[in-house]
Amino acid sequence: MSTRMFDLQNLLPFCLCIVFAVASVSTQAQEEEEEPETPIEFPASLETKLAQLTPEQMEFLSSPRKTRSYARTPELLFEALEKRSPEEVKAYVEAMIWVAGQRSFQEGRDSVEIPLNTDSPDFNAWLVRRPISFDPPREAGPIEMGRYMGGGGGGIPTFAGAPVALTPEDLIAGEVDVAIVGAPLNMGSGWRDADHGPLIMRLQGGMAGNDQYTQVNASRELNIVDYGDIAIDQDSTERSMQHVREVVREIAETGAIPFIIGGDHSLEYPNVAALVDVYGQGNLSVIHFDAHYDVGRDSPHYISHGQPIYRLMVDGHIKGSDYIQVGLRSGGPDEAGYKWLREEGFKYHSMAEVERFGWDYVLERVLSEAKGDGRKLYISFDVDVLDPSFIAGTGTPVSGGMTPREAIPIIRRLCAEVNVVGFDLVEVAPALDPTYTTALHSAAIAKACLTGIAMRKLELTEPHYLNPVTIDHAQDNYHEENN
Amino acid sequence: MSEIYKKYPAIVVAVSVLLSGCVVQDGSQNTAQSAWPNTAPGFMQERAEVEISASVMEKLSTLTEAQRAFLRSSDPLRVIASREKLNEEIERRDAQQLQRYVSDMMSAVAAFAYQPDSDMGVIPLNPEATGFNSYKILKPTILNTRSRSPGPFSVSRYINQWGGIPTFAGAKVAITPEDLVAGNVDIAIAGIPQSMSSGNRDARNGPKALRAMHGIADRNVFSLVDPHTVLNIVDYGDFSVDRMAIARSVEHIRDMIFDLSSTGAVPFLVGGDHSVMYPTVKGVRDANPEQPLTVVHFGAHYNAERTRAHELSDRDAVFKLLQEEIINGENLIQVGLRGPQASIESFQWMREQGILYHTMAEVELRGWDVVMNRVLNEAKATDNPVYISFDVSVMDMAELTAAGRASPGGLTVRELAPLVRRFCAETDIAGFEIMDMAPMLDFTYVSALNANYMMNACLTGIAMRKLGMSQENYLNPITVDHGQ
Repeated sequence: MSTRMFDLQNLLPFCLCIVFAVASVSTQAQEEEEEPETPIEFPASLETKLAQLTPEQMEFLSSPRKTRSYARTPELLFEALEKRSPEEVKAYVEAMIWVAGQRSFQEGRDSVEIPLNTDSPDFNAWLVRRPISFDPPREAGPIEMGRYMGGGGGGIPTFAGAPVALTPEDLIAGEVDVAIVGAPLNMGSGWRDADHGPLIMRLQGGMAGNDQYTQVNASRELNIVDYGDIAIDQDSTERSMQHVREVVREIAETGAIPFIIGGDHSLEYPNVAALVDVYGQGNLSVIHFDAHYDVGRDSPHYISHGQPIYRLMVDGHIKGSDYIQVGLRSGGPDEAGYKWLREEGFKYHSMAEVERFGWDYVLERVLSEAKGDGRKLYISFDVDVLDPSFIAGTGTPVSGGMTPREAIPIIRRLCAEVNVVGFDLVEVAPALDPTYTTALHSAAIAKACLTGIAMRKLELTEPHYLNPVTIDHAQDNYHEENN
Repeated sequence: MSEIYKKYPAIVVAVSVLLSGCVVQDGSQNTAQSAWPNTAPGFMQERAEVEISASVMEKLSTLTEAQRAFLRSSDPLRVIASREKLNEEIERRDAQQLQRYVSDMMSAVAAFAYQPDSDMGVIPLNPEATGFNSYKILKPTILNTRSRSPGPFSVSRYINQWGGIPTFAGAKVAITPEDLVAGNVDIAIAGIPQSMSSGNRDARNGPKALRAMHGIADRNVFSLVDPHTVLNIVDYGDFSVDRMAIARSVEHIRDMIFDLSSTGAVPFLVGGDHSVMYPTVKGVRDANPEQPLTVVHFGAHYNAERTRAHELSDRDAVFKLLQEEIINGENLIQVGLRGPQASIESFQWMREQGILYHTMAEVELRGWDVVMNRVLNEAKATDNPVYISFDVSVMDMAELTAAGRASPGGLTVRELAPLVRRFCAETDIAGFEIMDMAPMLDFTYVSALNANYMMNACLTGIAMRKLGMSQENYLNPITVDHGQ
C-alpha cells in the first residue's frame, strides 16, 4: 500500500519523486533506530537465574532500549531480577517480550485499516457541492450582504465583514486578493472544539479594517471574501484531507491568497500540499508558529494534528529544510527529536532561544531566514504559540508562550516583507474561553497578516514600516534629540 | 390520525400526483386514534386531491422519462427539504432551466454514493508504527515492580478521608478482574474517555470531572440508604481508547466490560461519547449470552441512523446493537427523545422494530408521572435484566449544561432521579452508564454534581434492592413526614 494516503488521483505523475522522497526520509528514521547500544552486563549474582533463559530472551533482557519501559535503569532491572525466583524471572522476561510483541502491528491479529460503509447512499453527502442551478441566477462575483450604504456586513456574520464567494468563478470575477475560508476539523489530541473556530472568528469581527500602526486599511486596499467553510468529515481526519486540499487549491489557482481558519492543525497537510500543487515543488517555504513541532512520527494514524509536517515530508510535498518553526516549547520532541530536526534541515526557534537571546534578536533572525531565498512563503499559525493567558481557548495550551505584542509585529512584517501566498490560523477552541479574548487575539493575528498583504500591494515593504504620523506626536523633537 | 401527521402526506401526494400526470383520489380514511397508537396506520396512506397547473404539466413533458422517474422517486428529497419546495422550484423555472436543474439534482444525488475510483473505501492505518497497539495492552501482573494480593485497595491515608486522590464515589481502586473477585465487588465504576461526539467534543474529560466531584455514593435522603454501607463499590479506572478512531476502541471496550461483568460485578460506566454504548451493551450481553437484556436508553437523540458512511458513531450506536441482534427492538425503551435527528421515517422505522420510545412530546401531552409509570411497567414486563444507558442530553440544559449534544426542553433532576432510583430498586440492573458528559461546556460545578446525582440514584436503588426495599416506589416513612 502506498504511504501517500490523501493524494488526489490526478497527481499520479508525481509518484516517482514521491517514492524517492519517502525512501530518503524513512532511511534516516531507520538509521536512528539502528544506532548501536551497549548491552547490559549483569552481575554474577544473577548468573544462575539467567542461565535458564534462551539466547533470544537474553538478547532482549540485555537491551537498555527494550527493557527501559519496565525498569528505567539497569540497576532497577537488577533489583527486579534479584527479588524474583528463577521461575518468576523466566515469566518476567516472557511477559516483557509478550508486551513488545503486542505493541507492533501483526498481520492477521490487527486490522491495517478502518472499514467504511461503502454501501451508504450518503457516503459523500457531506461534500457534494450545491449546483449553481439550485439558486436564482446571479452574476459571478462576491455577494454583498449589506443592506445599507454605510457599509458593514448587514448583520450576517462573515470573516472580516467581507462579502461571500462560493465558487472559483466568484473569486475570478471579483479579482479577489484574499479568500478566507473556514475548515472546522475537530480531532485534536487535547481538548476539542476547534470545529467552532470559524464560527467564533466570524462572530468576533476585528479581522480587517484600519490598522493603527501602519494606517493601512486592508478592507479598502484588498478584495477580501468569506469563502464559506470547507466540508469536513468529523469522524475522520483522513477522509477530510483530500477535499480540503481541493478547495485550498482552487482558491490559490485563481491567484487569490487562501486564509484558512481552522480547525485543528492537521489542516497544515492539505493546505501546504495544495499550495505545492499550484506553485510547484521546491518553490515554497513554510513558517510554522506553534508551541509544538508537529513532526510526530511513528503513529498508527497517518495524519493527526501532531504530525502534518512529517506527513508532508513523507509524501514528498516539502522538505524539512523548507521549514522555519517559531515558539516551540512543548514537552516533545526530546533531544533525539531535535537532532533529527537539525539533520532534516529545519530552522527551528524554541522559546529557549527566546529566553537566551531575547525576542527582538530572534525576530530579526526569523525574518532574515524567511526572506532568505526569495521563495514564496506559507504561514501556519497555531494560536497555541501565544501564551494561554491570551489564548485560553485552544486545545493543547502550553505555558510560557509569546505575547500578542511579539506575534502581531512579526506576522505583519512577514506578510508585508515576504511574498506570502497562504496563511492559516488554527486550533481556536472557543468553548474553553467564555470571554472574548481568544477570538479577539486570533482576529488580531489574522488582521496583522491582512494588513501586511495590503502594505505589500501599496509597496510598503521596507523593513519594519510603521506610519510616521502614528509613532510620534511631533510637538517637539524628542526622538531626534534623544536617540 | 393526529394533527401532526396531516401536512406531510398531503405534500407527498401533491407532487407524486403532479408527476404522474393524473388526479388520484385515495379511498383510505382516517382511522380511530387509540390512546397509545403503537399500531396506528402508516403515515403515507392519506391522500388528497391536487390541481396541477397546465404550465407545470407542459414543463414536465419536456423532461426525459429518466428525469421524470427521478422526480417521482424519493431521491429529490435528499437535496431539497420537501416536495412542496420542489414544486415551487419547478414552477419558477422555464423549460430550459428545469432541464438543467433536474440534471444537476440527479448528478448531485449520484455523487452522494461511494465512487470506487476516487473515494477512500477504508481508512488506512500505519502498520509500521512501533506502538500500533500501545494504547490497549494490559500490563501482565509479573511485570509489576512490587507484588500485592488481589483485592480493591484504598488510596486514602485516613479512615475518614476528605478529598485526597480523586476516585469515583471516593471508592477503593481495583485494576484487574481478580481484584473484583477477591473484593466481592458489587459495583465497578469505570471511565471510557472516548471523544468523538457528533456534537461538542469533550467527553474524554467526563470521567475526570465526575471523579473530581462528590456525591456519587452519598447517603440518599429518599430511602435513607447509604450505598457504601450496603455495596462494595470500586473505581475500576479508565478503559483505554484510541481517541482518533472509535473503530479501534470497540473491541477493547467490549472485552474489558465482558471481563468485568463476568465477575458478577455490575458495571457503572462513565463516558465518553455515546458511540461506546455499542461495545458496552455488547460486553454485558456477551457475558451472559443466554439471558436477553432490556436496554433503557435515556437521551434527547435516538441514535439509530442507518445509512452513515462510518460503521459506528454516537448517531448510530443503537442501530448497530439492533442490526447485530445484540438487543431487539421490543427490549429497547427510549426516554426523553426530542432532538432533530429523528424524522417521521425514523419514528416509523422505530415502530416497525418494536422500540418502545417516549418522546418529550408524549411527556407534554400526558405528563411525566404517566410516562414514568408506563416506562417502568414496560421494563418490568420484559422480565429481563435492565441496562440503563443514560445520555446526559436527556436532562434539561439548565441542570446539565455540559451535554455534548444538548437540546432544550429536557427532563429535570426531580423527574429523572425518582425514575432512575426506581429502575435500580425495582428491576434487576445489569449495568448503568452515563454518557456524553463534556465538562468544558460548563464552567460551574453544576453539571458534574447533577451527573453524579444520577449515579447516586441508581446506586441507591441497587442498595435498596439488596436490602429488600424493592416494592413499588419505596420512600422511607421517616423522611416523607415529620410525624408531629
